[in-house]
Amino acid sequence: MHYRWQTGMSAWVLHRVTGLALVFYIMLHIWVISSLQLGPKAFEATMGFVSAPLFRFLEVGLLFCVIYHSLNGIRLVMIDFFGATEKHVSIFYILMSIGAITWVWGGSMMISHALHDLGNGVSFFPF
Amino acid sequence: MNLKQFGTGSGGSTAWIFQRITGLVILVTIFLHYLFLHFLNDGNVTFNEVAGRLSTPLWKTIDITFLSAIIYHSIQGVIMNIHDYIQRPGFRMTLIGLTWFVFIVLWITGITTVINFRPY
Repeated sequence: MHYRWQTGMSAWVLHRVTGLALVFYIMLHIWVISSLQLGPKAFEATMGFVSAPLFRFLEVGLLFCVIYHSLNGIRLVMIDFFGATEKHVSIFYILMSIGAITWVWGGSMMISHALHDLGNGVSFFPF
Repeated sequence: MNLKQFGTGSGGSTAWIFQRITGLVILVTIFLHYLFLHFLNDGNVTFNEVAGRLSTPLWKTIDITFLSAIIYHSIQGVIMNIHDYIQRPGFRMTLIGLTWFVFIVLWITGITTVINFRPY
C-alpha cells in the first residue's frame, strides 16, 4: 500500500493509531475498575496506585486519543451520512481547532493536578 | 471449509453501520463520563462516589450502555486491523477468534462490576 500524506490519509492513520491505543487502555481500565468488586479498601488502594503523577501525565496522552478519535469520528459520520465529502478537509481543520483548545484546556488542568501532587511530596512513580 | 472467505458473508456492511452507531453512542456516554467523573469532581474517584452513582438504575443503565458500545466498537476496530494487515487465512481467523474471546471476557468482567456492585 502506498501512503499519501494528505489530510484524509493522515486523519485515517491517526484514527487507527489512537483507536489501537484506546483499545489497549480500555482493557486496562476494565481490569482496574473491576477491583470495585473487592470492596472499598482494595478499590482505593488500586486508585491510589493509578493516580500517581506518572499516570496523570500519561492520561494527558489518553485525553488526546479520546478527543482526536471522537472528533474525527464525527467527521467520518458527516462524510458517510450527511454528504460532507467535498468539505471534509475544512471540517477536519474546524474540528481539530476545537479539539486542540479542548486538549490544552483539559490537559493543563490534569498537569496542574499532577504538579500539585508532586509539590505535596507524592512520588512520581507509584512503586 | 474455505478459510479464505471465512467471515466475509455480509461484506462488512453490518459491521460498518454498527461501528458508526456505537461510535455515536460512545460520543454521548464518554461526554457524560468525563463530565461527571473527571470534571465535576476533584479528580479523585472514591468508592463512595461510585457507590452513590451505581445505586441509581439510571447510572447502571448508562454504564452498561457505555461498556457494551465500547466492547463492540473495540472488537470491530481490532478486526478491521486484522483484515488489513494479516494475510494468512488461518492466522487471521485465529486472531479474530482471540479478539472475540478477550473482549467477551472483558465485557463479562465489566458487566459483573456494574451489576453485582455492593456498597458494603
